[in-house]
Amino acid sequence: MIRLQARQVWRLARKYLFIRYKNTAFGILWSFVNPLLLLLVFSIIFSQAFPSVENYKLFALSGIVIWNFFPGAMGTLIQILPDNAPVLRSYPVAPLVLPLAAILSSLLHFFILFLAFAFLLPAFGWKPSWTLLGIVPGMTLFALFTLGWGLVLGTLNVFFRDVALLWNTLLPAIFYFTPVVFPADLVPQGLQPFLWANPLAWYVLPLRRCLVENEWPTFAEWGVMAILAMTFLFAGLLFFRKLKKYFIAFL
Amino acid sequence: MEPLIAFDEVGFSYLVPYGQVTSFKEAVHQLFSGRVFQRKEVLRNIHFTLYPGECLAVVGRNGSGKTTLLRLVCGITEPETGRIVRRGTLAPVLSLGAGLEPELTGLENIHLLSALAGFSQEEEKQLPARVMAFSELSPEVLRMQVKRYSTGMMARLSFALAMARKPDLLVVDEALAVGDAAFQDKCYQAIEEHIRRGGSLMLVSHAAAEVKRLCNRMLVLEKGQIQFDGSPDEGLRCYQNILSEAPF
Repeated sequence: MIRLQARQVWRLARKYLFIRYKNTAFGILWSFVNPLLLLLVFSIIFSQAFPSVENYKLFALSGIVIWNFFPGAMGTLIQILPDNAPVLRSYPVAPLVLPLAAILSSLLHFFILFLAFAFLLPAFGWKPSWTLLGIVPGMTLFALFTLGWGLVLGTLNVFFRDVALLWNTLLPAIFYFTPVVFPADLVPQGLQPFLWANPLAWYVLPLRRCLVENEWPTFAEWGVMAILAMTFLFAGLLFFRKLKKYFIAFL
Repeated sequence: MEPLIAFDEVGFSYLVPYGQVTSFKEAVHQLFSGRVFQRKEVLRNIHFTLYPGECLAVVGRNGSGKTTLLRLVCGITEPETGRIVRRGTLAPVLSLGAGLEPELTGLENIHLLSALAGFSQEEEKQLPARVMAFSELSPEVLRMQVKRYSTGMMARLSFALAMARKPDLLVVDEALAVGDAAFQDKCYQAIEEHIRRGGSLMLVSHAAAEVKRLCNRMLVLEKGQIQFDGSPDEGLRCYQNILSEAPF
């Protein structure tokens, strides 16, 4: 049973990876355009604003590359059940297979994209080092955290399609609430607790340091990343499990 | 002989939105009164067993629970009360073309759907050849993206996939209405061939001729309960009575 479900996850993940750029003339290049365009905007607006950042372009670009994983994966996770309604209605497939496939394909897509960016980043003054390897376990934990959230919102979205709309409305706010394109120490003392109450900061900051400043995340940071991932994943799985029997009537 | 399917006092209900919400005010009102969803009973006290070699037709009015019954048989939904025991391999043909990914080729879809339908890896290897033989789709067509297929070609691919497994039990839900006459004929031949091999069948259909040709037993569902279980001839009479006496 587990073997079959693993095969289902793998087949679906491959499908999502494969059809992402089907019928586009420029294929994966599109995934470069978005971060680079954002970078252009931010470096025009902000490059003078943060003198404390040594190389703002590299700082912002690496932040955006890590961040972009999150909205991409969440967008897929929220829609995955309604999108696959005919499959759930006609095949004896465990519903959990679908979000698992979605997050796996998002993670694989990130790594493919990241490899490509690795060739581009030196142009921004990036010097690779061994700490780069920290990205693999780090992003995997980030993916598990995202999956947990995606299971909750994706489940809710089956019953109230408002959730997907609400999410798209909130997303820009969450982006600016997370220190992606501005340094964390810029946030005033009094507001710092709010910054650290945002779980996304606990992934974006250590992973960027690991990428740009050649610094391994500290032991405590690994711990926080792992605990956050496990907590949200557990909550998401519980929620999903509780409500999955009602899916078919609502899809 | 052990049964392929055994339903023991199975019940099933859906959660559906409470009434029709037409305004935002109503939605907010409902949310706060706590009456967002209500339970709608679909099947009640379903008790039957299906033995190898039996070909069971399921008839009933719209909304009598036929499709839900088939979904329970296939394990697509789990029962709320009662117990279901399944044995042997089962091929669901609940809607032809469901799950086909238009951007992938026919061949790629064969591999994708064989995993979703629960085929083993060994079965998957033999699939392309078998599907090609049954569907009469040429290798060139199978290498084409499915979005370029006609509805009939998609139906062929789907049905061929289900039949390729040589299942013990074939579960068909009014799906054969698509496709041209030649294909429909081939489907019936394939089902008859499946029955001759000793395979079992569960079929939802409104066509009396089709039911008489293929089935040797009939369930009549009415308001989520089994009204009749027996020979197709008597079953059809029972179904006619239900249709004539109770207004929908």
